[in-house]
Amino acid sequence: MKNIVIFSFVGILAIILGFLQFDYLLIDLYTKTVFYFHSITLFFWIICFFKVILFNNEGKIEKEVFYTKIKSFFEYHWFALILSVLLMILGIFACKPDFRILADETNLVSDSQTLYEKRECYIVYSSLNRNLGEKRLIRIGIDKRPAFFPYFLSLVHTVLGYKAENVFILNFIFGVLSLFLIYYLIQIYKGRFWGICGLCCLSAYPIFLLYANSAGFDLFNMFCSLVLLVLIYKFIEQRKASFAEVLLLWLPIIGQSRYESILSVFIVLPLIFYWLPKSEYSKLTYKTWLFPLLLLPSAWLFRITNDPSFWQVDKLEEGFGLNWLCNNTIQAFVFFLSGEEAYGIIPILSILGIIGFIIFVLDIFRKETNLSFGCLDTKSTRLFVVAFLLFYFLHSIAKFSYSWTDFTDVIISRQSLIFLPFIVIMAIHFLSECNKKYGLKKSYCALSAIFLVFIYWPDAGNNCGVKTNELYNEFKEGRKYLQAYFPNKKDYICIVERPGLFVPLGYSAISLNSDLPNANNKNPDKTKEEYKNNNLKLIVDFYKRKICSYFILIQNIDKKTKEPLFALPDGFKEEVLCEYQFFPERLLRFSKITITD
Amino acid sequence: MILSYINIILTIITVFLSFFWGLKLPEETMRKLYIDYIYYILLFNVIFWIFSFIRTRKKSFIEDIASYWKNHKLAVFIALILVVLGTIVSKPDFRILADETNLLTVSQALYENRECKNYTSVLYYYFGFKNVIRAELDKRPALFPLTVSFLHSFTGYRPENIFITNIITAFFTLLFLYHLINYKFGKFWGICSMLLLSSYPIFVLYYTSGGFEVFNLLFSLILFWLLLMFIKEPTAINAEALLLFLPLISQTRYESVTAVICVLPVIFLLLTKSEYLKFSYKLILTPLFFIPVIWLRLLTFNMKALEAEDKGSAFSFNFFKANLEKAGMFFIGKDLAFGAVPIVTYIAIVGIIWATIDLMIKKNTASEYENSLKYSDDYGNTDSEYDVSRKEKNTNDFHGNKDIMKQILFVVSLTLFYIFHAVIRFAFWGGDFTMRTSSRLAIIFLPLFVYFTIIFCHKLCSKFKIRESYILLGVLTLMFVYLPVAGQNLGVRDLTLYREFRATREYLKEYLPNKNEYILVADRSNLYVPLKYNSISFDYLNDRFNTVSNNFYNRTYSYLIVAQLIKKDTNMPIPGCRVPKELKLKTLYETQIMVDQYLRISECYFDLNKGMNK
Repeated sequence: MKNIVIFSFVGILAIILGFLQFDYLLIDLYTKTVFYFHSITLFFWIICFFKVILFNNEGKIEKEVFYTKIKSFFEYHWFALILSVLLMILGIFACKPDFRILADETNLVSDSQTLYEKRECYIVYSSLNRNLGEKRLIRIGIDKRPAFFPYFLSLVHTVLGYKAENVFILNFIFGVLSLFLIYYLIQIYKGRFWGICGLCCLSAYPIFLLYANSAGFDLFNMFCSLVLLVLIYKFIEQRKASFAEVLLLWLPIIGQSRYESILSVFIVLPLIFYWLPKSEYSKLTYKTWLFPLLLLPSAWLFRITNDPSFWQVDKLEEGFGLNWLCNNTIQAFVFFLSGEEAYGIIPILSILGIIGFIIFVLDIFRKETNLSFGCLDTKSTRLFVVAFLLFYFLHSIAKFSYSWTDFTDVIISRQSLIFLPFIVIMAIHFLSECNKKYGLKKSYCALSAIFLVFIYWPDAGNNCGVKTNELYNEFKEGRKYLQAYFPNKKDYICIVERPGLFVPLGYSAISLNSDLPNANNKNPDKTKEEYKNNNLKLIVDFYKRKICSYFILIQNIDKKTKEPLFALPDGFKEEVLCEYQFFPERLLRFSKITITD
Repeated sequence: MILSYINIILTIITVFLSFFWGLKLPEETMRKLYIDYIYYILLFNVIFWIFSFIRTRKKSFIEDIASYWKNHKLAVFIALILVVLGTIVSKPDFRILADETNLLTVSQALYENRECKNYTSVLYYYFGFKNVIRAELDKRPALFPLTVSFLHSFTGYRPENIFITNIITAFFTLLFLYHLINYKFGKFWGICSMLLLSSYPIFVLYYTSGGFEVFNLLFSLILFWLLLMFIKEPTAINAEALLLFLPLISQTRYESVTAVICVLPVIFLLLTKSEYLKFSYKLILTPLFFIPVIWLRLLTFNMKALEAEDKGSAFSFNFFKANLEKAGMFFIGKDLAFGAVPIVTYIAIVGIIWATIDLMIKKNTASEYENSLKYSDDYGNTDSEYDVSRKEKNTNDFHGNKDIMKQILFVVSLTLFYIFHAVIRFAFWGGDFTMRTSSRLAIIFLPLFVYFTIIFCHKLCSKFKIRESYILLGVLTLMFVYLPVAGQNLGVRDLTLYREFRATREYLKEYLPNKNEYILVADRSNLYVPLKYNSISFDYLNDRFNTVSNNFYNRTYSYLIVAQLIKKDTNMPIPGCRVPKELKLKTLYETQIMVDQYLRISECYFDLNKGMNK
């Protein structure tokens, strides 16, 4: 009772602090404290996790039992672990790691850089590097994206030193873990063989491979969702306070993995209230009380981004609504069932998944069903299934209600990643039922899963989903040129239209034609002209003080008109180095700029 | 029962349909269907064959592997060491051009677009786009490029994958040869056969190249093995695995389709009526897998593909006689560069004579086999379950007296296989093994020589009680004597096209590594396409000069690189290597390719291009 009262009190406090207070301090509060909130969340979650695996029923540590548990875990699952690692390693060769969705991916890396360097979370849109690691920040802004992925990335920077490429290492790790978790989930109710088939099927998806070798956070979101499902299963199985806490403390993490994932709160909280025995409530610790406060960053981010400019719409009401739900749902079906290479989907698995889903739902809700997950009885199994289906249902509603969530748009298709485990699980359910009832040979299924990899990985290797994107081509061409001919980043400042793309890669980058600051800009009173003039003064100052020797101007210009993006003021000398066509009707012009006087 | 009859009836129908669809469709339809669907047809063929093969295994997959490893790990290690050694001795490279680069291009097309085309001129642009200027249907069967494309699926497209595929193929070739010999003579002789095959420089040279001859050899050995399994136990399951393998081997090399004639009669003779009713649904599909084989023959069996003026100058009995003689010279190793091992040829001849004499005087009794081989399963495993009582029961022991007829059937089938191969190769104008470009065609015959050499050595050891270790020493000595021939590239280094291609490649790799920046103009532009060069021919440059120039005005590329063969006496490009007069070339590099010709690599910047200062 005491725990419930304290929890309620803290919950109300969190609602007040999260939604009703700090109007004018919100941005600062969020950017300056999110690192610490995430650290505390992760710290508590790890404590709870180890408590669950280390402690026995009497609450005492038994080291031998722990070592035995670990040993038997690896002995039982070694093949899946090795296969996950092997497939991800092969995936690196099949689909080279690269920045693909811009500027989302570079913004996430920029967040991680500021979290690593200053323990604050914001995007640096342009900055000039001084000597010995000092920087002059020109323009910064808050990122609308939840910050757990950049936070994890900052931890990797802590270990390896800051490098933009660390994001590929992080996604590699999440890729391995995601493959293992889908195996783990399936093997709970179908056995290891089907788990391995599911693992191969998930890895065969070109869209999985593509974004496991990119710098986005969609794979991280998928990973978090799989962890959540496993934790829900474990909680339903064990019905203990310790498991409830592990599950509860995962919510702030998944809530800060992608925007919609905070809806998981509406699944987990009722589940815990319903399923946790009254006797276990007294065993809940202080971490449960703190849980509502750990959701504050999500609440603050929600308030900060409650502005149309963040969502690329004119009005929020126009950008979100049930009218979009119908359109986008239909487009999603087209996406999952289409054989279009650029989508990166395996249509046969979608079809098997749909059939499997129908059979599954009919099975699970039949009165005389004997379907059970692992050690769960029928009632528990049904509870798990409800949570499982509700999770995907809420995500679908949240995603498809947004005007931009058309999966057939190749920039948006990465958001479908979270649904892949659902499709795979349902497809495996169908195949396993065929095996049981009609004698479909397991070896055929295993071989087919392997052949799916052969057939579909080339779509990821050919970058089918991304290569038609102009910004991707522009950024890649720019990077390639600078790496080949101007590898010494300290010598120059890049003058580019979107300096935010280059800043996380260690370039001094600035723009001379910034867009007017948007709502997330910390200095909304500056006009475009003021920005340009200020920036010019800055770079001249840097040049005169010999912090840089020259400037590299990269312009995306129309092939026909060849008009430059802006006129250089007097005293600037431009030497055009080369021009490359990187897209139909667009050239990328590289010029070296020096100051004559 | 009814389903079984339906199965057979449907199979007969699909046989007729295959002939009809194979022969009667319009050429353009055939071409389009072949190009667009061969990937999927072969893929399904492979999948169904694997399914059939799994059905033939009596143990589970894990048990099979464990038992195999227990009995044959030494052979696996030796095969691995041999291929690694061969790869170190003979550096992987493209040798026979443009066959090997064409195969690689087809694998690229299968990987990127799932179509079976040979791109001869391509321009790559942006990141991942390409403009295919010229493409054609390749006359070569598609299974080898498909296998390479599977490797591309895992690693991304890499030209080196063709070498890796061949090295893996060589490993399995050695293992299959080992098993075939082990089945008859035992593990020791199996290992000797691996060493003997590896001592052939021509074998080493071509598994470190990009060709498909070793791949063809592997499939031939697998065919022999499947045939052996079927003859040993003539069941529908084994027959199905064999039947589904036939379309696959037909897609390895042109002549390999003759395997159908060698194998089908054996199946009809040995399979009992009751077994016909045990075939699965896959039998119905088998004839359909032959349709692309027919299409490819019809589409590409023309004088241009055969590089002849008419049928008479492509195939004739005169060629057969002459090439047979040349084959003799090849195998007795008149020239070290041929890549043969003469002593093996001589021993094999003695071995054939000895074996024939033995057969004629019927000294070939079961007891002889008892000495050399204990009772074994498909791999020649001597697990305890295969004990003496099995022989006493006179079950399907292949080496018992009652199965001499089966043995004869096997020998006749293999003999026919080799006769067909010999006839087709030697009757063709290009079947002269002493020609550098044709010597790889001899690879298919190497197991024959190895086999008869083993027979000779085995008889020598058993009749005259010679120690087997001497044989092993002899074989190892052969390896050391002959491997340097492969290492020095003797069989290939005087090929002009090889020299030209290698010189150009090495120069471009060292001095112009940024392939995206330039267009390469070469006489044989198709050689460079699979290496991801923007490559066009001189014909295209001259015919479409404005189109090519626009690429530079659009800044898609920065400059042109021209690789020409120049006549030494006139200092002018040879016909077919001339550029439009408007182009002003600046020479970058020259090197002698032949006595009277040299290679010149030049660059040209277009006027409106703001090229980089290097």
